[in-house]
Amino acid sequence: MVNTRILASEFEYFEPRTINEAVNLLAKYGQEARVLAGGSDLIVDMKVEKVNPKYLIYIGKIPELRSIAKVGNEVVVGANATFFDLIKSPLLQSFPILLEALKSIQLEIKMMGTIGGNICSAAPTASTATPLLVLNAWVKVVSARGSRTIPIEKVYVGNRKTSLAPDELLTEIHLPVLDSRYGTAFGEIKTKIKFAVVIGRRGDVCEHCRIAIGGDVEVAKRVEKAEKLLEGKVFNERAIEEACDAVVEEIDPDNWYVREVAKYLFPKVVWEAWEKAR
Amino acid sequence: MQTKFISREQKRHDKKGERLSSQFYTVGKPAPRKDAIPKVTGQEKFTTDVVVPGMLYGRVLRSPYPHARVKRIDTSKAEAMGAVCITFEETPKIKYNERIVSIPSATFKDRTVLTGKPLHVGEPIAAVAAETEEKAEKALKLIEVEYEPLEAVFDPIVAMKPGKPNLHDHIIIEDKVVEIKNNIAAKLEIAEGDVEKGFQEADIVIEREAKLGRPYHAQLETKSAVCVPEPNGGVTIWTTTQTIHNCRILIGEIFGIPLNKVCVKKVALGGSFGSSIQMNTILPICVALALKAKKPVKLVSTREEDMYDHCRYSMIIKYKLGAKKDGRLVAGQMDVVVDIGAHNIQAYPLIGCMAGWLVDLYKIPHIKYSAKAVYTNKAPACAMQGFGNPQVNFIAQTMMNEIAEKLGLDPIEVELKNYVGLGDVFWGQGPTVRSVIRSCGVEELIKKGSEMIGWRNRGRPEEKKGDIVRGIGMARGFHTSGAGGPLPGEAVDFSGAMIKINEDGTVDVIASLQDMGGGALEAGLRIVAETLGVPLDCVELAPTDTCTSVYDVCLHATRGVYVGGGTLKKVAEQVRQKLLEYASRILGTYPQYLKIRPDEKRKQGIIYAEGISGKEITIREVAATARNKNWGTIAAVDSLRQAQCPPAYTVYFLEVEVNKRTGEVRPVRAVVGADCGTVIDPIYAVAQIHGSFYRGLSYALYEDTRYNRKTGELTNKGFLSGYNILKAPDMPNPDDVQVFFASTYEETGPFGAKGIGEAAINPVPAVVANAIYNAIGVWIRQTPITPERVLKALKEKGGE
Repeated sequence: MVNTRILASEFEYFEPRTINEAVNLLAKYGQEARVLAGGSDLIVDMKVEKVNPKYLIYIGKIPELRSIAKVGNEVVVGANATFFDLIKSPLLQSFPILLEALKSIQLEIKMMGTIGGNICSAAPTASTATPLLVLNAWVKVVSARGSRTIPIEKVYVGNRKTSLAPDELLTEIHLPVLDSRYGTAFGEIKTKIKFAVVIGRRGDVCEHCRIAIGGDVEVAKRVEKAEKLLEGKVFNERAIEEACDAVVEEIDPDNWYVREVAKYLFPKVVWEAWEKAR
Repeated sequence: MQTKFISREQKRHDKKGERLSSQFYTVGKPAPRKDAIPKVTGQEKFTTDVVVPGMLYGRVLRSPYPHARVKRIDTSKAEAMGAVCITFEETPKIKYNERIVSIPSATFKDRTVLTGKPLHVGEPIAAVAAETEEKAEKALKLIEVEYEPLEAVFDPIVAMKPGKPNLHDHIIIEDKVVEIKNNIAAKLEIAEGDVEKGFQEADIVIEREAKLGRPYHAQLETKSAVCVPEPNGGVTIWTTTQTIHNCRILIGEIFGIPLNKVCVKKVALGGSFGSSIQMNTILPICVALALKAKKPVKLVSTREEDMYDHCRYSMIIKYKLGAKKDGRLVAGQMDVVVDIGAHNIQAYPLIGCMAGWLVDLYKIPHIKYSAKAVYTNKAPACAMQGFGNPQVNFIAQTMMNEIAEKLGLDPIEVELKNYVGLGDVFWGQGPTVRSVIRSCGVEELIKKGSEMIGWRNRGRPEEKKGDIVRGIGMARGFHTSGAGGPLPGEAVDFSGAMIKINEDGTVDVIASLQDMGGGALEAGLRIVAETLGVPLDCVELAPTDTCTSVYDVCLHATRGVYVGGGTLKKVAEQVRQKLLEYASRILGTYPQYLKIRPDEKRKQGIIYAEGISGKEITIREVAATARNKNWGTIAAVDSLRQAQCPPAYTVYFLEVEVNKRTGEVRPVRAVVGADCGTVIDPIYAVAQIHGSFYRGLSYALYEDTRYNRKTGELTNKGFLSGYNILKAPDMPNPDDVQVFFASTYEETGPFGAKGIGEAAINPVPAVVANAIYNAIGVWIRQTPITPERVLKALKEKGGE
């Protein structure tokens, strides 16, 4: 029987003060190390003996990882910014879809959990996943070998799997500011299903559409098939129904309840985004 | 919030010379709890806070199999690293039942301290103690065990079938060996009238089945113990418990230690919901470790161990109910199968109580009841707030609503025609103890509550349009205040206390009764202050243990205020008598003409002769004089058996919002009427009702423990993070939960008070189901009422 009172594993613990120090540690311990940010996922996973890292690299002592700044037409968020930091930041107010998705997080997790941790855990239920996907966010990862950028949809490669190499540290999340004519909406039913939608319209026609699904699915992702069914078409019940069918296909057929509620939630979210678009 | 304190009954009492409750000094007046600041600031001492020099830390080795035989166990590697180890081979073999609230002939003994034949995942096999908990954890992993896995059963219906493995071949009752067949741990059949004839007379008969889930108590404090072996061969113990005296008796019995050498200290309890009505599994293990180590040992369950240790009784209830056209009930037949898990902690009292809960809800002339309690290879179930009452209430109250609907009657009208109330015979906690009801606020509560919620405007389900609809439901319930009665019965139910006046006029209260956090003892202190006529500030609970206190059976059965408070009143009256005698010696008056009033400024009780100036003295002066003149201590010690267990009633009106497309149910607002007799403290009485309401919502909508049928493990592996429970954001705002009290006075209770705790949860699952029906026109009789179940029921209805 697992004992969550005692962290039964033994590990070496580091508190690097710079990104450089952190990536050097990752270069050294790579496979056997885990980056500790807010800990609201990792510590739980360690307690339930899902993961057993030999080295823990805590990045909470690297101040630059917590900054939020506007650079050109993007807001750049440090990977170690907490959910609460995001909610409080004036710069994030232009991303209501992201703030909406953070609403259902419990207070304790809001204070501890970080955006970078949320991305790296790559849980399909992660609060930030669907909004980041439709916002076309991208991330910067750094290693001793150098740095690279990855679009967010290429980060989530599987259930709780990212495309980051073991020696790579996620440092920044870049959020392109959306043109104000786009409409956005987010909707969820607890842990069951989450949708984020961005829509651009011209008159009755859906000109541009981004749809992301998360929740009780294998991996949070964009549903391109559904997007294509709406794009360039007159936006009406029929078009939505077709897109909805495509969305529901992403859900395990045995998961009848999630499929049912998706059929209810998806049209609501799409309509909301449509109505907000100008 | 509305509170009333004066009633017709009280006025009657006034004629007899008692004070009106509006003239109470302390009772009925809100005041801060004495344990509020220590609890809020983290200064309260719980078992886990107890640290003794030289103390070792214990850990328990638990079975990974739901049913197995240990073929070999080897602790040598753990011992080699310096850990003290015990296994089932060396701990006492005596079979015990950890709950001794019942008399010996109703106490079924089927377990030992440790076992070589585990019957559920998590059952203790061995234990270790070491200087640190980490070292103990390592030692635990070094114990080698070879198991022979045995076939396990998880379904009570399957477990009763021939050819299925017998969990217990025999158990012990008193000193007799009793054979167990088909895993039936206990059964009961009761009949009154002629049920067949009754159904023939009925104009409408419906038959339904309810399945009730298996919530875990999820109390804040996991079960904990500290045991110090004493030089006299005895032990000193701190432990999580609702009953220090029963823990003492059991430890004495299991380890053969005379009771005067077993000292169980009372320590604050971090919530319980019934899960420490029994001596918890870890206590005798902790004692065995300490005795072997000859050192103090602390043993604190992890959350995972705790979730494998206790839960609510889950059950399947079939109920057939017949009524006349006017809604009057004529016959009822209930058949119950209870899934008790691996041990029979209190299944026999449970099925007896459930018979009581059934017949005390409605007057049904012809009634038949049968119940079977069945062993399964799951965590053993035990008492949990309501003890079978919410389960019976769930099916009975939803079926009464359904009958009313079918007959085209208002459910309220049907309730008022059938409820058991004033002057009726009350079975209390089962068939062996009956008394007559002397106070009842049901009618008042229903009438007022229905107006407050807007019952007449609730509409019919078929009239409600749209995806999101609202519905209002009503359900009514009750619980006994204690387990007393005019005859001895099968449950031990008396309390005892000692009260003494100190030399400065303050008061020590020595009561072994526990406080689960609901404030039973806070109420007790108000009752003592009121009786003695002293300010509440003058009264304190003294640190208490089994050696320096007299017996109380257990804090359970909503008995804290009625039995515990009643006992304190009885003892305080004796102290008051002595006080007045001593005062009269000093003042030169007759004791019977003296009165006492609290003086908040002087922080003293003032004894005075009414209308005669100068004849006044503080209690401090009396106590000091008694000391200086060697008259002795002004103190009393006594016990009280209450000859009734009067019902505390609650009536719930609840509005819910149901999303017909997702099956989500959101409780919106509630009106709760409560009849607890005199309200000792209106703020805490409301808080108790709020707490019970939220827990009841959680029971109805969220909570269950499920098992993997292959491994016998909990599907959430005991992780609280995987346990579904009502969370703060999903709770209705407390401002939307209006509570009001009936204007009743229970003449047998302290200052007219009855209990409230369990009465406040019992009708909650039913009111949720009834409100859901009013919203969507579907009855759901399986808890938890998950969105999946609601949606499925809606689809089935649509397909009809």
